[in-house]
Amino acid sequence: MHSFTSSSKYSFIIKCLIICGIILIVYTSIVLLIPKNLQGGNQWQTNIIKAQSFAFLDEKWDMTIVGSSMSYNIPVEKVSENAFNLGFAGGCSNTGLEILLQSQINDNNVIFIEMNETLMRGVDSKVLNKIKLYYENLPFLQEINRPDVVFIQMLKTIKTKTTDNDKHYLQDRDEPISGELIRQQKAAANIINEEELEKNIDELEKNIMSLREKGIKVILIEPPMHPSLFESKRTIQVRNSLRNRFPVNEWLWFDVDWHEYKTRDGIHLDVNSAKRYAEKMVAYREKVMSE
Amino acid sequence: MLFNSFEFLVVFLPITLCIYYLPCLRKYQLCTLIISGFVFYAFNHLEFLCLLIISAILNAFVSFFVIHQNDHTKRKILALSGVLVNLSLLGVFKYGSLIYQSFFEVNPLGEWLVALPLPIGISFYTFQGISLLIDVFKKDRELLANSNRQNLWKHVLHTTFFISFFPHSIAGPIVKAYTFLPQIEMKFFSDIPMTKAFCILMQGYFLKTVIADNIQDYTFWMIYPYFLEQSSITLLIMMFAFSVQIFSDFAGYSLIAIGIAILFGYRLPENFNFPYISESFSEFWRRWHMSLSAWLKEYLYIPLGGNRKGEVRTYINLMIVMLLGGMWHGAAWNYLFWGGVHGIALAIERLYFHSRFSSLIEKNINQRFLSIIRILFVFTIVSWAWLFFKLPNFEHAILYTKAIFMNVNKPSSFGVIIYSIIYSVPVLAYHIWYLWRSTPIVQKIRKYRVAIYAIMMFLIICNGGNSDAFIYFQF
Repeated sequence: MHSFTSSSKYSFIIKCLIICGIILIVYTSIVLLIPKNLQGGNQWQTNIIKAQSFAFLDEKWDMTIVGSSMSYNIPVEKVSENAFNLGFAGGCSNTGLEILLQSQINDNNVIFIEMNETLMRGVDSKVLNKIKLYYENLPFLQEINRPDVVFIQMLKTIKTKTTDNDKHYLQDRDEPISGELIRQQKAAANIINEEELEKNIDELEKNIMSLREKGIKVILIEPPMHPSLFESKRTIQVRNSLRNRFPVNEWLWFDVDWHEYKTRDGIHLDVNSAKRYAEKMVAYREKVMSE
Repeated sequence: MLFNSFEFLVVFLPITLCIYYLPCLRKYQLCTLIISGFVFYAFNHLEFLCLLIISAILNAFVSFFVIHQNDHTKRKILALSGVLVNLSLLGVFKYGSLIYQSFFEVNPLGEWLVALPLPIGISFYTFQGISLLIDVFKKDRELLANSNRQNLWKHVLHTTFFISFFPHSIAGPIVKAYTFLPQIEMKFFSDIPMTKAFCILMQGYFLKTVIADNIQDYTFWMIYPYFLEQSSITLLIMMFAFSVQIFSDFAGYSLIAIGIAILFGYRLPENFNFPYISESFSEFWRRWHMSLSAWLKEYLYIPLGGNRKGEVRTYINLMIVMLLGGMWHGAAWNYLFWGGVHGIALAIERLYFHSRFSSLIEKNINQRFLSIIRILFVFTIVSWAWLFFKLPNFEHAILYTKAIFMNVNKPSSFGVIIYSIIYSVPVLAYHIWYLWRSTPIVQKIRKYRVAIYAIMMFLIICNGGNSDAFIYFQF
């Protein structure tokens, strides 16, 4: 399987290292010139790209949203230039909060935190590892500069020149997905182990309190869902626990009339609803800051 | 500790190599590797280290007494007891939970068994312990016996090293005692075939980090219930992509293990020999996880009688070996079924090759065309059988199979399809490279081997996926 002949003991390895070094230098020089967006080839790559962009780029944001794919789906950055969406598909608020705590945060930055059962997912260590190690900051090691990501972004650039690009990145399809709703309904019919729930809320509270101690303003949100899920056993259980821990009279809760919003699969808002929700969030931030 | 982790590559391996080859510590080379083996194992699984040490020491002592016992019956009893203890360890820690859940009512002992975690690598080091006991029992393994006759301490040191040597202790290749123990001697840095080790390591890391770790992001959607929403084409592509993933993951791991062992002056057996070019299932098993196949053949199939006891017995032996081989992979009925599928395929194939129909086809159809059809057929069935690995719930694997036929009108996920194909191409090229190895075009490309390895290294650095484990760690 690994047949070859060896000529000199180290010359092959040295040649290989030199050629690899040259490729790395040339590739890095080229790739830094290519304009890119925060989208990877799959949701995990996109999550890492977003985390690294937030952590490594020294930009000052006025508004950041942390949470799961429900938040990821809300196009705040399209409504406000100074907003950053740190929602992670398949993730939870704690991952975003950990990144925030490890980064330089603008004093004016208002953090919107998704508060729902996705907090049970726990922190995504793969994402966090990609910002913890100092060498990940090197351009050729950053997720956004991976050859496969650059390739897919180039393909998408070509595609968006010819098609309508009004849709948000998560919403390649906006037709309703009924199968997903049924699955979510089944899952939401069962309640969560109370002890585990409280443990995860403890973790969330610890991170939120750390942010507050830094003087950062925090707003708690519960993105709208399909009515059958919004009033399900599990959602009510989690909502009650969270609102007990973060009472409305002590914490800012951004609550909306969820009947006004539609989802495509039960949990992710459709394009129009997501845009309207984002606009309301931005307006709410302005209101809070002016008070 | 993972072979592709920062702590292994930057801390553990360089430090171990330095200590190992330091002239002043040369006479402690074995101790260095035994301690490093324990550190490597305990890094993420400290709680299981005791079991590895107990297994190693137990096998060392039993094998020593087997060597030094002259009475054949006593030797046999000793060796057999050792094998039974090894199997019991495997039975309790790996299969206890499955047996209890399948056949017994709720009881405290059963609950304890269910709560027991699976010690990583137990299937591998237990099989190596068994190999040691059987090999020392067989008098014809003179080389093995002679090298370790002197004293108990030396024997314990050698055999503990044989079981705990970190490149192979967790996920193989499964090494036979009589091929490994004679290699134990003082090693010198100047003797390392550096280019060979480098190339093997590059191939291994490329397969693992660039192929397997990237493809896994797309085969993720094979799990229940996500696959229900995928189109037939997507489901088929993902099924084949998982075949590529599991090969790249395990072959990659094995190559890294072989490469690292070379750095320490040891030869481990090859584990994969381009399995997806197999034209038959028996050929597939001579090319896939070769160290396990060889182990099962030598220590199970042949002692059962192999093909020497008539046709019916041959088929029974084949089924027994494949079913047990399936169960070796995991404590779930799915693995038994997977083994059964391969057992049936081997049996049908044997029937076919012994029939007139086979010779009729051989005579009338173009050989090259027939070879391609056979390769595709074997690859398709093997890929389908991998569904029982990917989906541990039997019903889900069946649902997936049904969905391949039913989801014709669902929209396809082009991202999944395109990336699965992109990451499968190097594995396809790897196999074609081997098939066409003597053709002029491959000979020409060979001249640019340095550039190919440089590109592989570049992709390992820049395009490696995000991995947390090797698939075979769960076995």
